Amino acid sequence: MDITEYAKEVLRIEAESILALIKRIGPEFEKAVNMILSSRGRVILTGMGKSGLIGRKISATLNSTGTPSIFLHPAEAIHGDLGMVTIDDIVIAISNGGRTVEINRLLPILKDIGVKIIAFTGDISSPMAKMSDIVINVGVEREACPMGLAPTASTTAALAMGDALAVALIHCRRFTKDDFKKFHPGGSLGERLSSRVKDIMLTGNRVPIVSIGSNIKDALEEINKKGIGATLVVGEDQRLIGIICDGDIRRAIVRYGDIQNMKVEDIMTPSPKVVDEDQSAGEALSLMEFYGITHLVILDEKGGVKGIIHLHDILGREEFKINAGIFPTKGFDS
Amino acid sequence: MQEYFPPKGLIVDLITPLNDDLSFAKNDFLNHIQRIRPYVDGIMILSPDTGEGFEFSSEEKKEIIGTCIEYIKSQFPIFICITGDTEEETKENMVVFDSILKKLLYDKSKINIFWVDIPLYYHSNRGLPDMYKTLCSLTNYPLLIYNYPGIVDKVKGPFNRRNIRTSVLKELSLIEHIVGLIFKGDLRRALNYQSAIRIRSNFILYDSDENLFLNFPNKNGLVSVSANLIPKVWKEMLYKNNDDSSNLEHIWDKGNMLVKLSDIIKEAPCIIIKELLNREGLLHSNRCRFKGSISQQTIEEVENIISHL
Repeated sequence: MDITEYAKEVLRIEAESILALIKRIGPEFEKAVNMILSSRGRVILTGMGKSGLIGRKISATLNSTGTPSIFLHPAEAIHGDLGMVTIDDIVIAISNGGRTVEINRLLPILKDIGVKIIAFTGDISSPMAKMSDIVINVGVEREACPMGLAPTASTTAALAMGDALAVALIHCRRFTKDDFKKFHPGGSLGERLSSRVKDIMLTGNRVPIVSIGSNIKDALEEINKKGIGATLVVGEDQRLIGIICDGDIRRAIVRYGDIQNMKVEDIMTPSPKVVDEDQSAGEALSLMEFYGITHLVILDEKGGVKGIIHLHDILGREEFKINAGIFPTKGFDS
Repeated sequence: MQEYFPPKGLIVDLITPLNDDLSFAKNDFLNHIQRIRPYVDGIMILSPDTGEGFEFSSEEKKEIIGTCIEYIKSQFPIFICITGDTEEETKENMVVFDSILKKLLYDKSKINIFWVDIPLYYHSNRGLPDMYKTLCSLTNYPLLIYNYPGIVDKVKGPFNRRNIRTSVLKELSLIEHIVGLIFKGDLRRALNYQSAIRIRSNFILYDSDENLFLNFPNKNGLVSVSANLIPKVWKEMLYKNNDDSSNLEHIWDKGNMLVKLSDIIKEAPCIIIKELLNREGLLHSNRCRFKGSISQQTIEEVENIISHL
């Protein structure tokens, strides 16, 4: 068989593997879509090796189509990354054989947390399938790689099923072209997420700052003037000591009534979360998601304020507007 | 009918050991099964090429089946080839073999028997679904169809087609008793067949061409001839661990040697396998009912490959 014929055969095998999925779209798939739709958390993809790469792509597709998603490396998960998983999240675990050790070690822990699990597997009687709430069969009849050395048709099938899920969610959420634009400001959300914090943070006069001892009125004026819904509080030595955001003010009014004459240190949140200016915007976004906040501060080497970054700076200040129907409102208010 | 699921994995197309006087060598047969059993997921007996199924009389076939069933009981899947020279002979085989099973199988709840038939050996594509509806009603065991163009080629007769027509296979896959297909042929046809049988989710397609399997691994399984010689190697190939990257080079080398081995063995599977097992002292005789011989060079070539596996 010559090279071009061989290549054509590979494509035929992979095409057939996708076609075979059509008749497997049924109640389990619908249950998976409904589970994600009714979830208040994120969709967490996990998988090892090439299945992991497929998981990353599915996660990216979900993010760009309005379903908040992250990738969790199974090995890193049990070394601390599990902290990013919450009870509201849904995990999609990908393993063709359903016997990947790292995944099967992770799933019981996720179940203990209370997370719902969707399995993408080619073996519906595998240990992974048995531990899952919903099993989507992505099995293939034939692999295209000689000796089955590398998964080919099976990873293609998993990827295609992931796309089917993302697109089904788009339709269920009535995701529109305008919504898509919101998640693709400047042409590519991915490009924005890969930029450095220092490239998009606010610096100099654009950073809202008040000194300790200032009254609340000064803080409110600074918040209104700089327009990012918060102000930083610095000490006499200009070192960062706190942050006041809209949420702090709201809570203070509820608690104390008239706060006009109170001092900023009375209502501020001390020790605001910081991010390094060389970290990526994507990492900053993950931190915001993890802590449920919308601002991160960038410090200089002496602990002074160098800049501030808001969620809108990451997702696109002009284009981004929170759409309650698409993005979870929970967790975005510090 | 009780729902039957044919086993996935490695099925051995078993040789039928003979004595020097060409009679069935029962002890060698049982020893051979005992030797390969730990590594395989099922066995196929009385196949036309490897098992010399067409060379035995009805009485001899009954003895072979009886020996196999008595030894294995109900604990291991057995594929039994029932194909005769005609439709009537095939039906008769099925009924006769069924009576042996009734006599010997004490635990019907664990029945692990699958009939295997090569329909185009004695029948055309036309009317095949109707023929099978009748055939399948004769016993309560599930049936696997064997698409085997090589053996059909050997038949003199009015049948032009060597392969089951895809549209016919689609109809056959709707018959409840027919639970799978053993396939020999090229990849293009395999993909067409896969597409045709998709209508039945539990309909299984095995490859019986080892090279096709090695080049484009079928996730359902393989009916292997050379597993008579090297069952452990084949088991490793089917259940390899791809997560271990240090193992990949080893698998690649083994796979390429298996391709070479299969190319040689398929010329005269029964003769070569019996000769090698006889040399190893695992069979008392290398005799076959098939006429033919192989060169010393071929045997040495096979021995050389096996020594590296």
